[in-house]
This record gives sequence, structure tokens and C-alpha cells, in this order.
Amino acid sequence: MARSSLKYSNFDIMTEEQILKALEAVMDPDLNRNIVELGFVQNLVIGEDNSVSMELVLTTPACPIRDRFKEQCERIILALGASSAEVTLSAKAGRVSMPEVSESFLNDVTHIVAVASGKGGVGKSTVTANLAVALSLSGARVGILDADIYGPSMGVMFGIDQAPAVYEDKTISPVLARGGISIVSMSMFSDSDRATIWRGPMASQMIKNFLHRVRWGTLDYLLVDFPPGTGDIQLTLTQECPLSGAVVVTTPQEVALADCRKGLSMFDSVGVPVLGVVENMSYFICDKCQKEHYIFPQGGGERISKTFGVPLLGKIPMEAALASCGDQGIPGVLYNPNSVSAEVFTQVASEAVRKISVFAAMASESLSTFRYTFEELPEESL
Amino acid sequence: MSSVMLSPKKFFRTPDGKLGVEWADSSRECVDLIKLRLACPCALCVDENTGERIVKREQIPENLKLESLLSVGRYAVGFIWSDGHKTGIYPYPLLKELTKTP
Repeated sequence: MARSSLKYSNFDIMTEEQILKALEAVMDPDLNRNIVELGFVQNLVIGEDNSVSMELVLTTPACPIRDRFKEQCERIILALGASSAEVTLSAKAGRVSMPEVSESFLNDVTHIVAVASGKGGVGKSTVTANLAVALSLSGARVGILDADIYGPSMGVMFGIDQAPAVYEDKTISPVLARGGISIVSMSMFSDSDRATIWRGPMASQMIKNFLHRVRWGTLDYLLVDFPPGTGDIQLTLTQECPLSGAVVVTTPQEVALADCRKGLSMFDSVGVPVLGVVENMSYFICDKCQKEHYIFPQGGGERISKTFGVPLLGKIPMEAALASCGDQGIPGVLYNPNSVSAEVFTQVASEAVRKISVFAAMASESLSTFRYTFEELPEESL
Repeated sequence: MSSVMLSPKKFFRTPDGKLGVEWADSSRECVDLIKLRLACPCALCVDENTGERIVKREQIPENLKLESLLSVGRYAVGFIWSDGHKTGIYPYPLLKELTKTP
């Protein structure tokens, strides 16, 4: 690594240690530790001409404050007397490891995130599709696993009319859809007018295939669009993969909230942290007068959030201009990025990303996925 | 969100052949293997309707060994025993309860 030579300027010597020391002032507000301590600062190079370049390796490419980090670092380095400061951003990949499930392709997926609700019809798929696009637009590599075997909707939401490629080893590739999202959905395998009439074990087996026999590739986030309820498929999903967190979707009415509570308690009993609640259909924005009309009672999402101690990530309005987006195969965030809904989805996405990092840091010492033989365990006394 | 933080950091074998667990709060505890097997919560070992324990001490081979252990999602651990029994899923709170007294 190049060291700075003695310079006949106001600033005599600038060492790597000095720079690192100064960069300790940059705190990650979520993890409550500084970026040096977190190991974000890498490849620090001080050139002969006192130019400084470094890499900021973040936990996620979708980090909502990455530009602030970059700007802060550059300012600090310049203040130390560097002739120029170049900070490049990158992200760590692949944390979820499933070493023993050799045929699984989930190895290169960093975070698997559930989008769920106890109740049907609250807009889980709409929220999943838009969150995926919002994450993708922020620079992350995103996939969607449509786990609703009986009523898949991702095909329509993204206007997918092709089948995934099937390989000789009976694995498949996800379909690359609008917004750069890799998607696998039951809608790619069945005739849209025919019902899939399966008992639980068959649906569960299909979910296992979707998880382990799909060549997901390298992804930062795999969003799993859960089917409504708390049954077979949901249990399989929570057992087969280490979910980084869950986003629970509800609508403001009391009847939806009751089911939402069940969804929350399900994730609690399977040890999956709830990232927060999204209240969908919160209000209607009139396309004529732009006024916000509260069709349903207000405050449902807030109540859930208070009772269960989980954050309310956002309230998604109904907008006439976006109502048909899903049917047209273009998620609202992509169709009209300037709409109120798109703005809220983007906020929800960045808030969810922060939460995921926080929970990942909290659980960083715990075992996530393991398979040991008893014999290979180390012998230790208590 | 209670069970989120109840998770193991490490598994080990104690010198007297028990299964040791180091929990996220750094507490280190262990459990006797026969006791662990007898506490299996699966439907073959516990009557689904009455909750009565079906598995009896006599049915378990004297030389029973624990072959392997594997994670189930984020909330539980599954054990595979030398007699072929492998249907038990032990949620971490149950395992914690069992390791409290070896």
C-alpha cells in the first residue's frame, strides 16, 4: 500500500492510521457503531500526490444513507489535506449460507424476506411487486418467489408471458421481469384458467422446489410473497429457509387487523423478526381534487404497531392513476415513480432495508443455518 | 417479539457426553441425551389429542447415540438419532427449558 511522502504543504504527513481515526467520526445511525469499526472501510490507498482512494463496503447496496456516507468520508479525507478523495461504494454479498443443502441455490441470496398477512386481499402481491421494484431501483439485486400456489399473481403483476428455462438436472432459472426482478411463480407452470387443486403436502413440495431447485443466482433480497393464512405453505417456508425478516401487510379495517395479528404472532413463534407493518389502502387520493379521502376508519396500522411494538413502515394510498397498474403488468413504482404511492413504497423499502441490517447485526453471533454430526462437535466443558 | 433473540451461538459435546449449548446471551448449558430424546415433541412421541407422552424409557435403546443436529428455519433444531428417529422439531424455547437442568 502506498504511503504518503513528506509534503511541503500545510499538512505534513497523512497516514493511513490518521485517516482511519478521522473516519471513525462517521457513524452508522442504525447499527450505532462507526464505519471503521464495522469494517466498511477497505482498500484505502494514499497516492504519491496525496490523493486518497478508498472503498466503502456496505452491508447492502440498497443502503438508504450510502450517499451521505460517501459525502462524509470525502469531506473528512479532504479536510485532512488530501489533494483528492475518491470513495467508491460496494456491498458485501452472500450471508445466508446453507452448506449442507448442496442442491440449493439459496447460497448466494443474502436476505430472504417474507411479505405476508393473515388475510387475503389486502394487497400483499401489490406490496411485494412494488417493494421489489423500489429495492431494485435503489441498486439491489432482487428476486420474488411467489409462494401463493393456489392463486399466483406475480405473472399478471409483471406481465410475464414466458416459461422459465428448465435444465437437465431438473432445476430452473427464474424469469427476468420488468425492473430487473428475477421471478418464479406457479403462474408460469399452470394454465391461468385452470385451478391447482392440491393437498397440503404437494403444495409444500412445490415450495421446497421453488426454494432449492431454482437457480436464483446472486441476490441481495429475495422477497417471498406469502399466501394468506398461517398453514402448511407458511410453515414450510419458515422451516426451509432462514428468513431475515417479515413485512406484514394489512388494511385499516378491524377485520383485517385481526388476521394481521395472527400473522405477526406466527412470525414471533418461528423466530422471524417482523420488520414492520404496511397499511395498504389507507386512504383514497381523488384524481380530480387531489384531496385525501379516508374511506376506512383511520389508525388501524398505528394500533397494530403500538400493540405489537413493531414499526408502521408506511401507509399506501389508493390512487386512480395507479389502480390498473398491476393488471397492466407494470408495478406502480415503475409506471409512475412520482406518484404518492411510489414515494411511500420507496420509503417503506429503505426503512425495511435498515431494519434488516439491524436485525442481521443483532443476530450476527447466532447460528443461522447448520447441520452437524454430534461427533464433529468440539468437546468442551461448561 | 420474545423468541427472536433466543438462539444458539454454538453447540458442543461435554466430556461426559452431553449436548452443550452456548446461547446468544453467552450462557452455557447442557442436556443429557436420553433426557433430550424422551422430551421429543413430535407426533410419534406425544399423543396429538391428549398430549400424553407415548414414548417410554424402555423403548429407547441403551446405547442410543445422537447422530446429527440441524437447524429448522430460525426457531428450532431437529435431531437425528441412531435408532432412526428424526421427526422431532425442538423450538429453541423448549431446548432452553431442557438445558436449564442437565
